[in-house]
Amino acid sequence: VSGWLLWVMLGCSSGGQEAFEAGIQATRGGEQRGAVEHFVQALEDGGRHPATYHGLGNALYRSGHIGESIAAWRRGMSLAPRNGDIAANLERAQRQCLDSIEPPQTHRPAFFWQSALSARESGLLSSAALAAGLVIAVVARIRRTRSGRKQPRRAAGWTAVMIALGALLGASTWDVLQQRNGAVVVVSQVAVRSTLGPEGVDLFVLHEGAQVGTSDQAQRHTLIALSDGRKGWVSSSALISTDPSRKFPLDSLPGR
Amino acid sequence: VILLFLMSLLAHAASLSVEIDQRELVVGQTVPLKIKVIDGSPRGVPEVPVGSGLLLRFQGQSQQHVVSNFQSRRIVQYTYELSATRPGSWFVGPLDILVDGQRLGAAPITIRVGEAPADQGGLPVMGTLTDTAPFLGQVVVFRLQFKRNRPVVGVEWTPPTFDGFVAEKVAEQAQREYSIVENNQNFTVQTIEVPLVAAAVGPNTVPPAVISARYRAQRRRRNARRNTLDDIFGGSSLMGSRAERKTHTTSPIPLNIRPLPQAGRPADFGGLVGRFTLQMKPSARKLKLGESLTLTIVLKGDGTLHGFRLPTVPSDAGFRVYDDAPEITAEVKDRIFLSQAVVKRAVVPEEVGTLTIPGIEIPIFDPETEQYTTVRTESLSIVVEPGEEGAGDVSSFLGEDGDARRAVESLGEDILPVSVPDRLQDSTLMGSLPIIGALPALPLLVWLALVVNGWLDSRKIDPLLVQRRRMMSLPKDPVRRLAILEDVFREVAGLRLGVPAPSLDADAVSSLGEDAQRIYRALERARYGGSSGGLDALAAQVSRFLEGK
Repeated sequence: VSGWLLWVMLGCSSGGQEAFEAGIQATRGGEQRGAVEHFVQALEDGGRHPATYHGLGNALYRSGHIGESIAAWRRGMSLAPRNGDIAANLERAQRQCLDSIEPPQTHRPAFFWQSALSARESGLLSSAALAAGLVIAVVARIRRTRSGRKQPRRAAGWTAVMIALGALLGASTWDVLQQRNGAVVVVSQVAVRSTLGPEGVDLFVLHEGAQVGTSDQAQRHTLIALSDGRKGWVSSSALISTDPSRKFPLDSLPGR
Repeated sequence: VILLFLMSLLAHAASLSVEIDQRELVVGQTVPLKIKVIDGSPRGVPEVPVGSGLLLRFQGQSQQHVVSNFQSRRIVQYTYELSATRPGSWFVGPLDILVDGQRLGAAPITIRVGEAPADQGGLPVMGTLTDTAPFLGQVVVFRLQFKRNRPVVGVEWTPPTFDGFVAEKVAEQAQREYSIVENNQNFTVQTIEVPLVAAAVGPNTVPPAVISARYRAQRRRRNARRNTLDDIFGGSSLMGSRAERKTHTTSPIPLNIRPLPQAGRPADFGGLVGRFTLQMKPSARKLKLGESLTLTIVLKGDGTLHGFRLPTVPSDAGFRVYDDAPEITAEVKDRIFLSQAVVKRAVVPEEVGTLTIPGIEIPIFDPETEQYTTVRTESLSIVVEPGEEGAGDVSSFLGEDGDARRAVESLGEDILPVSVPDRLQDSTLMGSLPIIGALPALPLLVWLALVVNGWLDSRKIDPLLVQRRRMMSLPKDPVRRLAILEDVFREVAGLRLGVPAPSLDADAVSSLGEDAQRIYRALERARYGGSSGGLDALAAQVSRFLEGK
């Protein structure tokens, strides 16, 4: 048990506290560019917390980088779907975008609870449900060994229910991870082409802040899909992923 | 007689009244008009002036005494026939007659005369549309006219489907019934008028409307008593009279709804189609700063006003306005649709001085001239005087104990700041993977251990079972047979006492009971006595001991 606890504590250790606090101080001092650097450092140090993405989005927004700020807040929302402050900022930034398109889905409608739960939360709930089911099974087994009688039906039923619940939550968590293919356009405008190479034609133009889904990746290009079904290729450098576990690129920011 | 004489002494002064059953007629319609002189004796037949669109003919005179509340009254009634000859609004009266040396008068009565029923060319029913080439949004009236000179006991109508039109939301369909005289023959005319709004551009057709009428059956008067009863009950089925059912249909009406022209269309055109007038009237011309005045704005016309809203006032107009919801009314009468919207607008001046409220302008489309035009009101000048101290500011009429707070005014909008957490941690799924995996791992390991332990337990051999097998295959040789019996007894006793079999002695066996002691002693004797016949009985005793019997 001690080894188990040690493993859990070591595994859940986090970092980035200092860089995060430096980012907050820089924001309060009006040093938005410095704040961006600190928040990105906090992310790289392991501080992938909604507050880090919130602060990063705020600093980017105040620096005039609407697309990057939307990407940062989207990442924050996927870590904390019930955070109203990030949602309000995101809504405000989206109103300033030129393209009126719906952001891609973050989960399937069947897993409706994922609109209020992050992948981490549903994963923890899944784990807790499985653990509860197993604890019930262990207790029933010990009683059976001591009494010599068969395992009662009620215990078997509860075990089955908890394990089924854990499996369902686990499936929805897995689905959320699979749906993390969103991206945000971070250049002022970009032409979306029908195919890579000179044979392709320009299909439509997206502007900064447009939220799209990605469905394929080439060496330097990404196949994107709009919520209305249109698809096309764009340069990968024009996009930032909304997956919070990925590195937040700052190459697109001027001066870097 | 004496009583009547006494009552006549109590009679009141003479009075005059004019009675007309209907005040809305159509050309050709005739209604009775009665002039009653109460408690007076006029000289001759009163002369009644009427407008040029009306014709009045004297029919006769009657007189009656009425006793009411112990008062006797003498009523002289003059009956006339009032006929409508021209459409318009006409007066009947005023009356000014001399009664017993006293002049009695009656105010004029307005009679509205509508168009004569359309010529049906001998057909019993006819459907008409006021305009068969209306513009989109224009109101037209569908009229179904049913004319008959036979009495009916019931009429039902099935309206046509008005493709290309929608029903006018405010006005309801109007039904009317009146009598007219044509060629010295009395006719009853029933009309149903439905207001419609043109909604779909293009050619269309109003299909036939259907009227189903049950006429009273014409038959010869053979039974005077029966016919009298028929007259009393109006030929109803109550008395078993017969009715003849006939169905009449109108002709289809082809039409073409025209689109509104694009040329000259004002940018702020709101869709009003028709002829309209606009009026604006203030409740005051002078007020103090902090007070408000009410503008009553009336828009009238022959187009639909459903959903009408006044144009908004710019924020820098020098005054604020608060509009009530428009009160919209509409009616259809004699193929004319009339609608009216009344809006009460509260005006709150913001500065002292002469306030000019600009006129209201509403662009409309006039179907008659087929052009866009604007109806407008004159601008108004209002004198705004200085108010009391603090006038113009928001003031509270509550006492000192009341809640004097007001809502916090927003001056701007911005993004929301970060809520700093106490401890930053990786909130991704990967960051929590150790605990997610470890949480069920511990009970899983315990459960697996229990399962393995149970499996191992299930593989252990039962020592009693081994002894039973040995007892079942005892050898015939007495020495070996005795040795096995002794060994089985010692093993079973050792298992029961929890001690190794070789360490058993008589004292230890005595704790297992008398039977065990007896077997122990019997085995000792057999070992030293060597009796084969006693071995079978001993084997039976050991078997019983083995089974715990």
